[in-house]
Amino acid sequence: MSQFEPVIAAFLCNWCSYAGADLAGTGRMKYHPNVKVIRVMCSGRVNPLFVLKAFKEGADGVLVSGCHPGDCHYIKGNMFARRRFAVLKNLLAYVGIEPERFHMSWVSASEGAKFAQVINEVTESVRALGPQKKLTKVGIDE
Amino acid sequence: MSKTEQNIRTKVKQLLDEGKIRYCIGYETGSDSWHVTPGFIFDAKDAEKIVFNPLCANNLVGYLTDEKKRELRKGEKADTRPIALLVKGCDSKALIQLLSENQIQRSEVIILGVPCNGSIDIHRLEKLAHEMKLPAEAMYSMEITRNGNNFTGEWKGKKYSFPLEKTVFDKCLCCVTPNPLISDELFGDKIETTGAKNYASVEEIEALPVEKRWEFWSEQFSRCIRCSACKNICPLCYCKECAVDSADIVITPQTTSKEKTNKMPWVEKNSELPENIFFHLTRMMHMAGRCINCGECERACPMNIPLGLLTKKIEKDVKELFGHEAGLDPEAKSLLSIFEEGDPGDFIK
Amino acid sequence: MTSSNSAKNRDFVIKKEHIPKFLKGLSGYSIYAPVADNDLITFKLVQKFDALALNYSNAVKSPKYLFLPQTETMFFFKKGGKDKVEVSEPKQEEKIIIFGIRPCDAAGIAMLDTVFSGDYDDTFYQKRRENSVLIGLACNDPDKNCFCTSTGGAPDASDGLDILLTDIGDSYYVNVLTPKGAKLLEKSDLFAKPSAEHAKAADKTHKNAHQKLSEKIDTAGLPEKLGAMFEHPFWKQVSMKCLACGACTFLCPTCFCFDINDLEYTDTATKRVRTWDSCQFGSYTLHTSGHNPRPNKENRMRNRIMHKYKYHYDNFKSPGCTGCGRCIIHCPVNMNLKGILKELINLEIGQG
Repeated sequence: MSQFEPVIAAFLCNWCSYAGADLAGTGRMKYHPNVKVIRVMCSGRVNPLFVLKAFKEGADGVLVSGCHPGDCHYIKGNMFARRRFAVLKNLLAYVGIEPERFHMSWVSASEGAKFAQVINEVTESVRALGPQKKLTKVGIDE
Repeated sequence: MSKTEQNIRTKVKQLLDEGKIRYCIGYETGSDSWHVTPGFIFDAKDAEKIVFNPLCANNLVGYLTDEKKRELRKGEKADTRPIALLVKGCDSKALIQLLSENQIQRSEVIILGVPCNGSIDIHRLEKLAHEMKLPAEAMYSMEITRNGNNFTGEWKGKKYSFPLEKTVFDKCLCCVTPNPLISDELFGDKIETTGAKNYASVEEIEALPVEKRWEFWSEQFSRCIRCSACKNICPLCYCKECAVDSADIVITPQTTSKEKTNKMPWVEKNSELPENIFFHLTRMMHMAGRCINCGECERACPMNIPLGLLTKKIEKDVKELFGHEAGLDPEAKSLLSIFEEGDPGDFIK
Repeated sequence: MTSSNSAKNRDFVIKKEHIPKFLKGLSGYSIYAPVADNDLITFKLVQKFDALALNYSNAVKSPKYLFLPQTETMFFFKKGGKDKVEVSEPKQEEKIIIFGIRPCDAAGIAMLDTVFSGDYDDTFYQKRRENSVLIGLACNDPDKNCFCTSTGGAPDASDGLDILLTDIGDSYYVNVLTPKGAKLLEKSDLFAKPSAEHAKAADKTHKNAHQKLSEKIDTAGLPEKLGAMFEHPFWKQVSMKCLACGACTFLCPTCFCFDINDLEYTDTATKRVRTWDSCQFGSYTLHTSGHNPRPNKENRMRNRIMHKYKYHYDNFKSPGCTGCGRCIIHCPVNMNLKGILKELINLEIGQG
């Protein structure tokens, strides 16, 4: 019996989270293959429009991951992201999008294991919700 | 004509006689006695047309940025004199927000402040009039005046009373800024603040389970026809290139053809539900920390979408999360361009 | 105008209480009628006919959206086999009845008919139109903002309609205007021959409605006058308070501008979609070069009024406006088209 395999769009900052993902790979750590990675230079570069567009294109879940506060390669990019996504997360939940579809994390370059754990958690919580239809663009006239 | 109206007219006449302003933006009587309309006074003799009464709901601040976007006609010389405009308490916050965002300079505007203790929502008044079985000839003809906690009028010897809480906008019932926070001159007596911010309608929706919230909002957004009235009436939506308008692009001689073809159409014009939600969520993200809840978007919407439930949610969230309030300090930095060490981060893994 | 004297065999009468039964009996049709929804009246697909809002003045959106939808997929195309493109069109077979449409809205649809089958046959519009039957409801009580009699229309006009109903108390007087309309009544036993009293009552309803619209605006000289005042400062003055929000154009029964875009829905499949556009939007006339021939609100306001009262008139010999009044009722800044027309008529352009 095949189970639902969610598609998770993950925006990973180049210097910390993406490197952490790399480390998980070189360390042969196992984690769910459901994530589609989009590398950005900094989590502060992630525009809320990216998150909405990912949902529009059919992503079942979205993750934004950056450096820990104080460790941002560009000093404070992740601080702006923290503010921005606090607002977006509340707004998405308010209009009826399940809050477990949007996640944010701090994963450093040395935290390969944490990256794998975050992906597994996000995948399982989105899997439980089923396919995302609410924000997905309409295809053939339905 | 009230004393306030007379004083405003005198002042505007004086400013125009002395050539001190380009024009004055105020209110004039509209298509009938139950409507007012924005009035642009260029000549001193037209200052007599200005009115100020409980029907004056329009936020006139948006016209300032409108004027900035206007291209000069061939041979037209730029007029650099300030513009005078009437602002109520809520309007003044939009003005302060524009000042804090450097969209207008303080010297470009002469602020004629008018304390306001409630604006009539014409849809509510019409509904109430129908319920009270007001004679058809009386509707739109009867003069309405404020009388304590009611609006009253008289028609053919009979008196009618419209309770305040059934006729004014929601924003007026919880108004904490009846007096303009910024002005060059104040017309009318200062009003004591009796309202208090009330987010009960937002909390009601927050308390619903997620699927009920979705049921509510998907029904509301399905009615959106994407006319953009909400965006265009908003005094703080002034971007020449709007993120939620797929055809909007500012083209300069330096714009390359690659930039034009690769312009990302975040939101298209189709009014399918996911697209509508994208439009409104994006607009709300852009209003976070900037929206002063003047309620114009909800008033403008022809399809009666309760946009106030979104704007109030944004206002509540930024206050609770960051202690931020829009429209109070012309020197304030915009919410999302700053951060605090202690910003909430519990939701981050 | 009632054809009561000339074509008695095409006139009928039906009791109001029988309307739900009549509509239920029309199988094979999707019926759209005015219903109350969130404090406004809109035309919606109805399956139950007991709560129709037929005492309404007019719906917020004109029913033009049933022929020119806000969003319409024209066709889909996707990568087929090697180097092949498969094109398919959505099926458009739904037969609809619009019940209770007002004469101004029907006149608007008649106007759109001429536009969409003029120089170019718009098959998307025409197919929907062919599959439709319009049952109109003459106005008893025109809204104060209505001015159909100033634009060549009337509260009991039959332009664009297949059947016209007139409220005569507990019944409707029924004028059958086209064979399509006649077909609907064929199988129903709810329609009776009208008496002279019925015809008289219908005439009275029409007369009362006309009386409410007695303040006519004489727009006869406008096409020529407008042609002579393209550069007049009137346009700047009248458009200053306009927000260019587009609400008027979207609600208008005769506005038809649209945009066409290709929207991808998978990597290999795209749909071509037509959506409403508005001459009031800044980007409407934006050229790729960056030049915009209508950069300001005054240019766009001028275009809107000249389109309705000159260009359309020049092309089709009738105003491009049916006087429904929606633009006045729903404008957030109370722009008043009636007032503007009166100003234009009284304007002395020699001094411009």
